[in-house]
Amino acid sequence: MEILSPNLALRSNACELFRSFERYSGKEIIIDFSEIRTMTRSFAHEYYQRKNRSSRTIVERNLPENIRKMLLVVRSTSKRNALSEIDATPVVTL
Amino acid sequence: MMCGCNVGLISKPAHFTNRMIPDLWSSYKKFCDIRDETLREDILDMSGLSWIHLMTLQPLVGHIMSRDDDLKAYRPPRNEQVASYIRLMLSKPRDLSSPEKTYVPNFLLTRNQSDANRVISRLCELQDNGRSLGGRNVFMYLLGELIDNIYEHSSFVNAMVAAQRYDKAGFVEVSFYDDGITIARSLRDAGHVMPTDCEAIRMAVVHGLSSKKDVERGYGLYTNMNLCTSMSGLAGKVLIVSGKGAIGHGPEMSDRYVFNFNNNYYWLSGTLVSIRIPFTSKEVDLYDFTG
Repeated sequence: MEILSPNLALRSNACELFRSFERYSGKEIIIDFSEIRTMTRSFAHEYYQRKNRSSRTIVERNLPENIRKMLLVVRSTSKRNALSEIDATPVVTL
Repeated sequence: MMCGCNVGLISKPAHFTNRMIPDLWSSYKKFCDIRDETLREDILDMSGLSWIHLMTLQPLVGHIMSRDDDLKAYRPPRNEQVASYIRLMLSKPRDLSSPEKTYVPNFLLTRNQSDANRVISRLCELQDNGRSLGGRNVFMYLLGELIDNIYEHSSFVNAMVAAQRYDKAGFVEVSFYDDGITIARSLRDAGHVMPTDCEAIRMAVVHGLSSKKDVERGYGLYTNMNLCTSMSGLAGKVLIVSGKGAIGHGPEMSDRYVFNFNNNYYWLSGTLVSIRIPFTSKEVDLYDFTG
């Protein structure tokens, strides 16, 4: 059954996805990602959190490389090192 | 709520000379000039405009929508091209899927988030699915994260997104506006102490401070700013105006500024994010920026 859009953008899309699983009674849910083209970090983070909390076993199939990478990104907190120039920019009061 | 709408005459503050004003800021300032007149005279006077960018148009639409009463008069642009462009951008799009067009009309986001998914796809189609804007992966990421921010953080009544491709100038401008609670208020409501609104924007953008408690939150603005403006990314420009502050950033020193608004003239009731991305043939690796 087709549920997902090819471009997974909003956090709420992940919520909607997991709500849709409630229609199914099985212990295992298999998601075919072969048609998925892009994914934001927000979606990936929500997906990952809900997957961890789910009582079902969620299995991803046919993960494109860029989607696999985004799902990996949200598994660990990374440091923010860039944009120090913004910190260094003096404040001008208008 | 419109900041400053009950204040009497607003004195025009000193500002940079025209030579120093960066282009995104000058577009926003034009909105402030027009708004000032509507607040003083109840007249929307656009007669002198020789062009209008999204950073002028969008907050102006938001300002008019937020008014409790009607304006006394509207003076449209004398320049018919500008008047026609405004009509186009404010028209209700019958069909978002018009790939031959160089713009996406000002689209009002609703609480129905499936509408947002449609406009994200259309925005991407505007520029050949992001092919000359760092690649589809990067461009969809930018659009998706910025729209997700509006839904997650702003508690908006009105929110909108629009885009314009400038083929001769060689860039795409995408603009997002919401009339919600501002970045600073979102952080303060979550218990963070923010001395000024521009400091709140800085903390959100540079340090990923978020109103959400999860440490894995707060990457949206940070990643987008980095991706948009760094030379190894899209080498574009960003301007964020929220409440009483603004931050601009880009590859050139003249694109970089942090403004604290000490009076009502430049205040914005809500948040405005505008990105200008030059056309590029290189494919940017999103994962160089996600950590």
